[in-house]
Amino acid sequence: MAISAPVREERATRTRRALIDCDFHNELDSIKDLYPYLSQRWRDHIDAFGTRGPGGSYYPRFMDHREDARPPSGRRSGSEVAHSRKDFLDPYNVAHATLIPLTPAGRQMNGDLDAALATAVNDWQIADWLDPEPRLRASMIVPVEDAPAAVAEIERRANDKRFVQVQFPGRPHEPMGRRKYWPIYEACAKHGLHVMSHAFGGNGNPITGTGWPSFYLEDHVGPAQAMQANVISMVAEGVFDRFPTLKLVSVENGFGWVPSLMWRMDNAWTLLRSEVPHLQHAPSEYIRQHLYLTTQPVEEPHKPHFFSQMLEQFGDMVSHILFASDYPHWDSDNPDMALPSFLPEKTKQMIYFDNAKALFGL
Amino acid sequence: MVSEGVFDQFPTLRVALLESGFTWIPAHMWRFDKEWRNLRRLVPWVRQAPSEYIRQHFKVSIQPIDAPDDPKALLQVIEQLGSDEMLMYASDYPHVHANDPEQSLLQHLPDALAHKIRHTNAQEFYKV
Repeated sequence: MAISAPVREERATRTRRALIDCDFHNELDSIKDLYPYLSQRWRDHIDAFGTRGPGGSYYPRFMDHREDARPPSGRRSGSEVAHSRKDFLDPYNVAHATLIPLTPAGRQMNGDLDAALATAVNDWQIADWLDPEPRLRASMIVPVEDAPAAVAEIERRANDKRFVQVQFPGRPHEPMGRRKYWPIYEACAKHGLHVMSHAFGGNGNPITGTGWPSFYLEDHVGPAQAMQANVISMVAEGVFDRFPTLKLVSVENGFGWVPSLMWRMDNAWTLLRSEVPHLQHAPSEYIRQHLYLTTQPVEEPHKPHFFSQMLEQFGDMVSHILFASDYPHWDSDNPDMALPSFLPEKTKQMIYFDNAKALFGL
Repeated sequence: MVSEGVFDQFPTLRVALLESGFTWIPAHMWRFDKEWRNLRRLVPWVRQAPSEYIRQHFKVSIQPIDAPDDPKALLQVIEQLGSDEMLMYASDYPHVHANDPEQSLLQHLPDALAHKIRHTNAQEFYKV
């Protein structure tokens, strides 16, 4: 699914299905891209000290993008809206795409720098991406580990409805259901913003439940486990009881794990529910109502009919599966090959377009 | 264990996973195989698909079953494992679980497979 196939010349965009892409990356060529949006104080700081996150890998070789997506200027793939438009949005008839910037913002140990970078990234998104390209929507970057500062940033941007969700790294300091993050959820619920968790980003916790693995391969198999921990936490802590309109969007964590997680949580809850009396519903109910998941990297079961079985196990929740390309990363999914061809047309239309249209109000 | 090459180093080593459930395994195998296809240069000692190592070297106990309401979905998971030899009966006595293995799983399976899960897989694994 990582193949970049040439878009056939004769396939005019008007005959191609319209897409909504829920994982589209706007990249910094370097941290200096943010300098127009940072005060002198922080430019000097970064020049002198650089940025400084917690230890461990965030995005290892991951940062090697597809060379075929590099703009003619030589800057990083995904760092120029004009080229991203020409290379992907136009040929693939992308009606809308949600920007997900992966930058040092949101995981700086220096809290003041983190807040400054977050607001700079959001300013950069507006100036360089949202203003020139009306098809785009953005994920709001906030200093997630500092709730008051994060809420301040949310309040600052709340009136710009092109920000559709608030971005969390895949592995924040604590599981996402923990109380320290509730003021952020409250602000999101207040302003109709979703909460989004994008795979890989780490604020100091390993990708596995048993420590730091040796190989990038393991990092790449791992996001499902990390996201499951976040989902379990948000359900068990009662986030969705407290904020019943809140929606959680899981990006790049896969989706095949959802049915078995629902079964396990429900089975555990039947025995242990007295520990969590604040839960008004079975865990699977919360997952069905509140969790959305993007397709990339799409599941590739050993036999084609297993994919259909998986969707059958999702049931109505197929309306929560959202197409994503992950452009321009090395393992991005080509829209023409992202879903098995034998799926019913109605299912494809939901996943490629309708589900995201409903979720983001597009 | 798979990524680090433990089973190339110790080809006769076998591992039992107890009480971790098993319904998560198919999706995990698909993901792991996919990423291995992408990144196998990093781990050249992983000579076959990770799912093959998993089927050959791991056995998994069936309690907690983590059963869905619909037994059909559980049978789909069994099929998706791609091996009749992976599952071993376990009660986890004296701990309490939400499901009874006979009720939720074994009575729905063909006799030959149920027999393997109740007997033969563990007999072979523990050499009894």
